[in-house]
Amino acid sequence: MESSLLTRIATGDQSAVQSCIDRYGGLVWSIVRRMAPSNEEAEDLVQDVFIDVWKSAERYDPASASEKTFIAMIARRRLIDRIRQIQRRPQHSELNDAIDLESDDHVKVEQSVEANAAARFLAELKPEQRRVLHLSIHLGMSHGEIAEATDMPIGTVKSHVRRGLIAIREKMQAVHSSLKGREAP
Amino acid sequence: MSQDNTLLLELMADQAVGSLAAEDKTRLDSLLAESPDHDDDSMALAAAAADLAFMAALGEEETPLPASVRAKLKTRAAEFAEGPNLVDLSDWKTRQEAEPGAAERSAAPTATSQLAWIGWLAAAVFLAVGLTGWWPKLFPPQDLSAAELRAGLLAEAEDAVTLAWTATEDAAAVGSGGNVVWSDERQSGYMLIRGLQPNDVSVEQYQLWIFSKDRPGETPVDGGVFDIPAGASEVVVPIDAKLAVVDPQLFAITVERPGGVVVSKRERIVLLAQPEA
Repeated sequence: MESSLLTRIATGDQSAVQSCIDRYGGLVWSIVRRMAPSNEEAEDLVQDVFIDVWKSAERYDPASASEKTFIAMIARRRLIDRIRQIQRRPQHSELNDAIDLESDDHVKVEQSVEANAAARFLAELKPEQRRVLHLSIHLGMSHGEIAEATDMPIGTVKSHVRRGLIAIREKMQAVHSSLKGREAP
Repeated sequence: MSQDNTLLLELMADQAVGSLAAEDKTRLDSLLAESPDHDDDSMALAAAAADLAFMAALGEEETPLPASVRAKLKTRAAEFAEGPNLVDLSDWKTRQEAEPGAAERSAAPTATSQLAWIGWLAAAVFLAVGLTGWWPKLFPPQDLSAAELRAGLLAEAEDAVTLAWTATEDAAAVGSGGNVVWSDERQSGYMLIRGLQPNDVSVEQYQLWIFSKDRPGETPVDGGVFDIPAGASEVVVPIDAKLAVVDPQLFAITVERPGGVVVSKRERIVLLAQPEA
């Protein structure tokens, strides 16, 4: 079994730092450009994300999440921080919250086991709950923006997002417990 | 579940989607400090997992890094590997050696961690086979909003560019912003507009103009007429280009009479977006 790139980075393997870009560049770029205010911002953010990933490699715990989910988390966190910074500037709106190519690198988004657990949960939700989670998690809309777009009370939006995420977290933990159980002799 | 634990999870969820109110940040930090066993990252990981699930459900593909960004990153990677950060990693490795058993927990893969990966792989294959059938049903295309279609364009069109709006001094534009996304290949785009003053449709409408590289500046392409509804703090408007657009040099929104005009007098320009020189 191939060892984790992040584990290799944490142990000082210089080639793994470069390989990390090859393996996860497309994922990070896709996440960042989806919500970044401009291409220039997206380009800066991608660099910030990767530096953060390399520096955080030692924190990566394969027992908690797949490498892909961990890197997606760091990308999202950087993006959210950046969007919040921009929106604190007074000239912007009063909203609480707020993206030579190598075509053979083009790959479908492969799923991590956590994403599969999340997808199964999302499939069981009522359409309006799933839509709220999509607008919040995938499109980065604030609770207020979602309330406006869906005509739902903001309390309902907040409740859908909170309950949904807490449930997904529980599903992930259940999957990992189950996997740990399989490892036991 | 205790009340504090419920609140902790709720605040972690708010933080994971960037909606944690400033006044709740201190409370969250305090609750986390009281619960040292809590994994601070767990909710953010759940949000990341859900994001990956949405990407798959919507059929989004990973867009390769543009060559220029990739080259910059490779340089940064070389600097990182050779620079002061390596010292930090060395320090970490030294700490690991000092902690009995620490190296086994997180260094090169052990038999246990290899088993974990095998277990994950098996579970992933199992789940993927079982899930393929219903993913497309999550989001029937006809239900997608302009915001979702905009995200889809960004995910699918490798050449899509995102340009930030700059507000002019027009009274309707004060405090406004957002961005415009455009793909030459798809001849498709979306305007995300925040804070632009709502218009009275009976008096005036907004109109987009696209300055295509292959056309003289006097005759930009009409990008369509649109409205900002009262009470809307943010809107996503599909671009309705009336002619083919090549390598747009400037996007401009003007205020025009109802129904729009064929040639704008450019008396009121509210928002501009253009690539960096």
